[in-house]
Amino acid sequence: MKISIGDVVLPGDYCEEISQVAEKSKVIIGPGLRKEVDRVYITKPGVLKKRNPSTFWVDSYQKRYVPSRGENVIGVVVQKAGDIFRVEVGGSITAALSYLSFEGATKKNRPEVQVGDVVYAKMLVASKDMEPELVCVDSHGKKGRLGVLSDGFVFKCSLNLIRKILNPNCPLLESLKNEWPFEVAAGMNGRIWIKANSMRETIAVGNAILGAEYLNDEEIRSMCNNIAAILAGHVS
Amino acid sequence: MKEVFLSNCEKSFIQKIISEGHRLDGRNYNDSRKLSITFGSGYGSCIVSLGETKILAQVSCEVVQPKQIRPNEGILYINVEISPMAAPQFEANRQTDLTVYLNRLLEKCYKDSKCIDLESLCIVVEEKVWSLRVDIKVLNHDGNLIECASIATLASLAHFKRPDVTRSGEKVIIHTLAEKDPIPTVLYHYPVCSTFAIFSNNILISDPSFIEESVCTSNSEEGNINGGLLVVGMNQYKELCLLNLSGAAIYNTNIVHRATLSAADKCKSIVDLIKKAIIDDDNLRQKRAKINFGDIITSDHLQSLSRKDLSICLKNFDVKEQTLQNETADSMDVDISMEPSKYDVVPSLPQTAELKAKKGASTWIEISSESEEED
Repeated sequence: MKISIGDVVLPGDYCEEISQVAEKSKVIIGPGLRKEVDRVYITKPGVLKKRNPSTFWVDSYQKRYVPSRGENVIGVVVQKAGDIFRVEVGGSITAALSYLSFEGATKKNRPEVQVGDVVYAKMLVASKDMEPELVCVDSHGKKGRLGVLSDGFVFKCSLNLIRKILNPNCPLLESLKNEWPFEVAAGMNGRIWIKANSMRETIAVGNAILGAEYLNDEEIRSMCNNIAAILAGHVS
Repeated sequence: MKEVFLSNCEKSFIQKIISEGHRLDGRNYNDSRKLSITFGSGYGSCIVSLGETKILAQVSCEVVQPKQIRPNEGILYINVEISPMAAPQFEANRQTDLTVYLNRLLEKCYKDSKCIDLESLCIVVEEKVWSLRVDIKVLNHDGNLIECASIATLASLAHFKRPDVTRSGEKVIIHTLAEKDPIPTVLYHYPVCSTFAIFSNNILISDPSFIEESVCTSNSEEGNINGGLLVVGMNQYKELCLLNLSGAAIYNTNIVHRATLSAADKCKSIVDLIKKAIIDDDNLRQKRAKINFGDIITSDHLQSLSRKDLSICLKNFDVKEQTLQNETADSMDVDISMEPSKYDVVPSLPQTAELKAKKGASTWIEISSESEEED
């Protein structure tokens, strides 16, 4: 059966169109695709997608995170060991976060991080053969938005939902940002951290995010209005 | 068993919202999640789901020699299994504390309370008796395993029918299901367990979810556990069958009293639900309808395998309201008969507009009178 872009595909299918395009120009194959000898096989069930020019990938539903370099993730510090913190990011093993990877940290000046704290960090090293490493500074040594997240609430969701809300076209954060002030951090490992002035507002943002998983843009906007109305009705 | 790590902010957030009277998924303190009981094709198998916690129970029987001390009674075994399918922190084929705890509680509730008539399971005294074995498998762990497991055990025991036996002189004939109708188990009373999470300030939460359970039994900053889980087992006659506390010691007897009162009503309604489900199932089987677990899986629907309720929810948020609102919005577009506005928008100062009431209308701006009341 011929596979075309936009089809629902299963592992084991192969897409001839990609091989055809590859003869003419350079092709980038993304998650869910794998090149074997001369064919490109599909390794994850989902929808085959394409972005111009010639980038192909499979959009699949996934909750389990596989660490990959360059992604911002939210982790929980589980242990202090020697010079590093052990941070749990939801992968197969805990990631390492060095004491010196914080802004303004030196050997004498240790960062104030306790076991059980939530950190927003960037994946520096992530391969299937080594334990993942995180950093809380960018390459200039500046903190940016990374570091310890204090207070608030953290919860898990699917990776698709994270990608959906971080998409600039998604109206969710746009609709909510004018209603009440809040901070949100989305980790690509399927975790979201929210902080608002009152706990009801925090729950309301969490409600909006989790509820938006299967809704389209119009429905997301109306759901946000609904939530804002419920919250306004009970200002406590 | 790998430890599930709870972050400090989750702990403090849950404790804060519970002390303020709310729960993470919008329920009230004594609201339970949705309970559904589905029976399988064989007698004695059922899947019970309490919210997202799902447990499968299967009852089977075989003829064995009775115990020496009880030669005229049948035997009941209860076996609980938790595999990594339930949650990633469990290891396969490993008996953890939780498994032992569940096993012990279910034995106390169903064996020690003598709810099953074991003497009716006797075939030949001192030689042959029926031994009933209840196998409980946890399919998904989202908190409150005990309540779900006890409902599953009870429903499967009440649903189970053993083969009929006739004795003629020395011979004992066990009939197949085709020859003679099987006989249901005799239950004297129907006990069910109900879990309560106790937080500081003596707050009782019924049917705790996974995160509420974890926070309740976790160590606080001082290193000791502040809360506990209270399991109350009662039957439909409001008789207490089981009482078990884990976690911090209770120093207030009021808590146990409140918990038992709350459990009494809850257990009665659960037992009524189980009985009704069994009667419905019986009726369907008499009409020779095909019953199997496939009915609980709805296919051809985008969200068939996702959770039905949001885990974080405001109190009055209703998922179905979304579609309802969209429908009314559509229908409103069709017949555009807006009532004329009572106000005029009038420009007053530069770059400012003002709402001015038309002649005869009141100058008070109307606010919708649907303001909901705080409970």
